[in-house]
Amino acid sequence: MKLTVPHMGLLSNAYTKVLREHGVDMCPPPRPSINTMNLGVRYSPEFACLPFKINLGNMIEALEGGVDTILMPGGYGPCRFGYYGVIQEQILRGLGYHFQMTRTDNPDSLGDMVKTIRDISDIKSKWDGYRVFYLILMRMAVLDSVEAMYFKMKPREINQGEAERAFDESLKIIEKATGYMKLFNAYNKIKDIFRDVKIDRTLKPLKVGILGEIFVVIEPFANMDLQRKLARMGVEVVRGVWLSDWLNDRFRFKPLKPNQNRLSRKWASPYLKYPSGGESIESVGKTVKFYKEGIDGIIHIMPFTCMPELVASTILHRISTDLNYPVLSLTFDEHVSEVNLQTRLEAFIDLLERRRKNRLASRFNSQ
Amino acid sequence: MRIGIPQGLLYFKNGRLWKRNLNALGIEVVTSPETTEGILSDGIRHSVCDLCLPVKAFFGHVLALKDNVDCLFIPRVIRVEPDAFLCPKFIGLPDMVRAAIRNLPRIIDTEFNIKEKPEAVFWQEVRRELKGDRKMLLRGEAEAISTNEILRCAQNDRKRRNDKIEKDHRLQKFSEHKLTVGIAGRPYLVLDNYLNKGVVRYMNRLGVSVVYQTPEKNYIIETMSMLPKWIYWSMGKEVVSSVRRMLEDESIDGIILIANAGCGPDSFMTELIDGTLPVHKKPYMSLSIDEHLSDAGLQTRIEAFVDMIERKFKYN
Repeated sequence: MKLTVPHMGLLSNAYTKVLREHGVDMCPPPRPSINTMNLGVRYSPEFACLPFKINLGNMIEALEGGVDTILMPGGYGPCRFGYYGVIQEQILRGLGYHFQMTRTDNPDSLGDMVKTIRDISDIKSKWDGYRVFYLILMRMAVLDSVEAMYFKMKPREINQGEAERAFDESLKIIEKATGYMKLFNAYNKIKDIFRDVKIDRTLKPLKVGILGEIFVVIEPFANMDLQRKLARMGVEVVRGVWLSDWLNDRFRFKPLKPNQNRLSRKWASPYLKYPSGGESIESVGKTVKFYKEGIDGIIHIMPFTCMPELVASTILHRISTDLNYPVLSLTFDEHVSEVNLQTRLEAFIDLLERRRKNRLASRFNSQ
Repeated sequence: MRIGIPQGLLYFKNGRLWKRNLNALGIEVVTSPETTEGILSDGIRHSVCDLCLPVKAFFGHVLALKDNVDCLFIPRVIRVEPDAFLCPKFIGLPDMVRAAIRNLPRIIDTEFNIKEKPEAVFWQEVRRELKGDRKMLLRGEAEAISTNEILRCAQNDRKRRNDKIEKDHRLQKFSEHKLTVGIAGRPYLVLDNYLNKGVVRYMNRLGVSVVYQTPEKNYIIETMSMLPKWIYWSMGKEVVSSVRRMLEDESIDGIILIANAGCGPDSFMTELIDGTLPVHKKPYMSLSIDEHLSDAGLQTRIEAFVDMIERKFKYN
């Protein structure tokens, strides 16, 4: 049985090696590319959202590569994500592929996830199932912290390319860490690596918060590498949406980290009183939080026709005028051009820079 | 005290019930006029670009109402049945309206979530919220019917509606013609005479009678059991099972599925219908509607569709 799961950011780095050690023949699909997008768009419904199309393209690529089982998470939320698996299976069967589709229709429940892991691997005891599942979660958390460190270092680095090198090296170190103790040591090593990156400590780069639909935020191909682009422009990216936070809200593997969803609900309460699926409540709540923290501006990204984020986007428009706070809403689908994105980002960053300069000037004048 | 109900979205499903219950509380209910070009373009001006057409029209209705009423009735409808949601935009609707439009009167945004509390509690909460306003229930307080009575009314209403559906399942047959075409889709799009771009009127002019129907609950459950996974949108369920109903109904000659462009659930429902229901048995067309759709383009497609059905009859 050759098993594949469509890509979602760095998630495949977290589980591939661990599950391989437990007898699962994991074959992650190739990283999303233009080819993936073209395949996905060709066979998807017209108004399906971008994650659906990229996932479908990924599945087709994996099936072409000889995979015979696909694992796709599902759900029963108001967002379309829960129904992805059904429609994708139908489309792939229509294309004449022979495969088995495993849907985990309850990704919020710990028992179901552990059961899925035990079903696909040679893990016998329940205890081992929990142990492996939590190891995957911890690896995801470490991967996320690597990315966060990268975004912090990149705009401040003195020698160009050093942060990227540290990032790549860290991924390699995490790849090898397939036990709790090894992972702990790897984490310490990664912190050392990033400490060695030479940075300019006097620099105060612009800070931009990235919020929006989780797939588009964490998958660099879906957002045209927006965050690296910003980092290369000398902007510190503060991401509000992390896959490990999403997992932590459900499975509590970082007991000290508060539940982000519940916190966002508190912050968002003057504007959005009930979470309307997806990351809408995080988008609204964290915009308010980032404003209070003094982050210079927000870029809110979502796939075209995303239902929950459209609610958030309408409300962010209002927050932006009410608080006099720059919010740039970007919609991604297969037709977005890279040049257009670059121009809009540059204009936005210029605006933020001018705002900061004016603010400093006015503070200086008033003294 | 005047309370306004915008004539869009869930008005087409629950409007009459809401109106009667609010009247029973002793409040004058005002509804916005039917959708016109002006209302829609007002709404479009106040919404972000990729919102769907009915929500844009809804903003227009709110704009048309807001200056003539003391408060607006836009409940936050989360679940109308225990195992299904509505589209996320319904959950965030009061907040979206508040964010998109300025200088609004008070909005009654009581939560309607049948999983957590029954309908009676919802009306109790509406009543409590309205009472908070001192001026409001001067007359109403005396006449206010107890919530139990409201619920009884609601149940009777639903029963009557179900009886009617069972008696003749052709719930809305617009006129008698030789061909009959079934229309499936969301009520707020199909029953709104402006948003459906006059499809019904145009088909009647071509000599086709149009049928719109919502199947009864048992039929929906039966349809869901045929699918690989339960649909978790209430209206999506209705769309899929009404298409199945029309496919089985001998008296219907063709089916048109109307969805608005960019509708999240319907983008999947159309695909699901194509894959799981025997749509090749009958002429079947799916139309997607948005504000840029030209009448001429739509008319050409409908004419071609009707021609196709007629030719089928001629040669069979």
